Amino acid sequence: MRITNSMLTAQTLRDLQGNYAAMARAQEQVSSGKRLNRPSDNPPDAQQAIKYNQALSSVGQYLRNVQTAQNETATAEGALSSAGDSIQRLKELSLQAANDTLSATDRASILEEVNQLADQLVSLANTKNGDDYVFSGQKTTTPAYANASAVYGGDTSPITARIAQGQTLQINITADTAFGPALAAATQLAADLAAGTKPQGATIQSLDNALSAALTARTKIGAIDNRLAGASTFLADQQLSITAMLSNLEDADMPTVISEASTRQTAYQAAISVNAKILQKSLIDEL
Amino acid sequence: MANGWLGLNTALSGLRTSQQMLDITAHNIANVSTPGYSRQRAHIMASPPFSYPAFNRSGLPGQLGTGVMVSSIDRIRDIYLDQQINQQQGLTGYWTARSDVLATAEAAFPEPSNTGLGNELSKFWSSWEDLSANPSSSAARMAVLTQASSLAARFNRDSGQLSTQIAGVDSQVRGTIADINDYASQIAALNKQIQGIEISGDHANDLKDQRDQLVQQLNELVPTQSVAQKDGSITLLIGGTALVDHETARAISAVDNAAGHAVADWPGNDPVDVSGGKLKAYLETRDTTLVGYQNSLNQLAQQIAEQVNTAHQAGVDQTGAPGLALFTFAPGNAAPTIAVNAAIGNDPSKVVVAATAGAPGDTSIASRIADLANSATFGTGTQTPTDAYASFVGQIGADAKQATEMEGNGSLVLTELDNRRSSISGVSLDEEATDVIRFQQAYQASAKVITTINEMLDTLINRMI
Repeated sequence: MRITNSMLTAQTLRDLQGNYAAMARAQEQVSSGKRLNRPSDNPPDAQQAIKYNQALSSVGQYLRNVQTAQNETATAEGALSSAGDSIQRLKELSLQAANDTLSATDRASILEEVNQLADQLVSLANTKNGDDYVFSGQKTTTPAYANASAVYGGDTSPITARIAQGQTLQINITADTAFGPALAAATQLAADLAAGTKPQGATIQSLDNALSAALTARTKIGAIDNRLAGASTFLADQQLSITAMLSNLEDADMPTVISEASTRQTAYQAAISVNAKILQKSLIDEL
Repeated sequence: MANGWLGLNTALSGLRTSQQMLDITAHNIANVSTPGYSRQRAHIMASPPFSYPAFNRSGLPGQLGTGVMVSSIDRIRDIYLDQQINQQQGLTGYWTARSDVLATAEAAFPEPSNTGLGNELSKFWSSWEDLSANPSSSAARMAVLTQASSLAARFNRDSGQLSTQIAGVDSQVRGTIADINDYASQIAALNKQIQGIEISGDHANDLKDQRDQLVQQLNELVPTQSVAQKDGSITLLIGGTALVDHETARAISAVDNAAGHAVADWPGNDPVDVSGGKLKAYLETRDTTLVGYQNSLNQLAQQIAEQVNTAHQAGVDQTGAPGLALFTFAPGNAAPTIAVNAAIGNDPSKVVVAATAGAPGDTSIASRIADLANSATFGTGTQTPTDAYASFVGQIGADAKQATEMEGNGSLVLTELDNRRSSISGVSLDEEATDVIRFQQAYQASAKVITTINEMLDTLINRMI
């Protein structure tokens, strides 16, 4: 094929431009650190990366949900622990009061302590986490008990935490099961003492039941806490793995990309200097 | 009868012809870098020999040659290759223009990234999750309103960018139509000139080169068919209708359609059959591709607004009043018009969390809305919102990538054809230099002959008694 000057210059220009463009692409990856700088770089990968980003956001959100739930359960646990102590003390007082040798003054002072403990139990039943009553079910703006002899003011609906896609967990205990028996027993005990009689056997038994109820509630919260901790670990693992997958997809392998950019630059420089020498010669020079 | 002067004339014709060929060579060398130039060659032949058969012919042995003449100056050009190049120019022009438009379109969706609509969607769903974990927090309610507003603004913005681009491509269409008319009138003017020259038998080589160059550039904009006429002019047809006919160029007009965009019409309002080239790419992207993207965006915005609104209106707000629609939008044109309901505005108490009044810890509506993030009822009806968005972005990316690749392929083919044309029609300085030496020698030889004949005549005239 006949080669003309314009062919040679045109080819040289095309090759230089091609080299330059490849160099520019490699540079872009180096400076952005990413393989995918626009959807058309790799459309299926870009699509997948968008989904991974959403998944990452979702997992991060569930982690926050779990932490919020753990705050609630910690508060509840603390209150139930104190309640257990109070009920234990009530039981001791009730056994004391069952003693026939007690004087009226003694009974009076026991009564006072019982009343204080009852108030304390009310206060614990009305524990708040922030602005919300923890033991009132979904009626979080209503105290569980107005006073020791009041009726339970909350409801029995669950407070649920969303701990994973499609997974919810009830994280609350309602005061009617946890504190109700204790308050009823304390009220009865106070009534007995005020009337000057010794506490009935049934009252002492009901204090036992109350202690048991409080303990059960505490155990339930403990179990919920365990599940939350497990969820937290699982979510953290998921976060790591999605981040790794996203990085694989999006991120440029720096050593490869840097060496590619450097290679392209060398090739470009070589091409420039060689072409400068070749293009100048023709027979006209010899005439 | 032959005489000494015939020899002089013969040698003179040699001198003259060598001179002319040198001139043509000089012209070629001067135009080595001219785009679209095809090298010229003299077609030389022996001049009519002597003597002609006639009653009066001389008795000497014949025929005797009378020298050399240049019968025509031709340009070396492969017409068929030109046609192939023009065709390819149209194809490549189409993909180049399409690739440009789509590159700009995908720049409006910088994904994957932490900015962009995908991220706004994630944050919106997140704000509902936060609210369902903290139902009594007024800050969480406010955050929902802020995110909703931000999401709506993002839809508005992205859709707006596509609209702006559509307007930009419309300008390109008008500009291209103007360019086509411009080329057409230049070609018609050249037709007239060339016709005038070729009538006298000359070859209008340089003008034809110019005309071919214009035709090639025109073909990048819109494919034309070129029919060569006997008088040297060409007739250019678009879709069978003449654009340029001898010295007349019919102007295409840019007529506004119902949407206020330009379409190409012949005078008399017949539509121009645009079968390729940049014009087709611009028309197609403006009317189909970009509009398609806008429609996808509208669909997603509308689906999200509708489903969120349905859930929101099924519950009660913080004051116990039934929930209002969270978003307002214009059906069928949701993306540019979606906004947080003005009746809700910045009032966090109007955000619905619970299904029924009286239970502030009830988060069923907030949960339901948060669950929409994973609900496969968006897009085509079987996708989650993120899937629908991802597939939308994937479509743009795939379209842009295809256009770039096709442009690259087309360029390669064009390069190959161009190379072949350069090989046939291009000037090789080495070749021309060799010719210079050749013609110079021929000139010198003819000059030598003249000197010799002169000496002979001198002997005849001056030295014979």
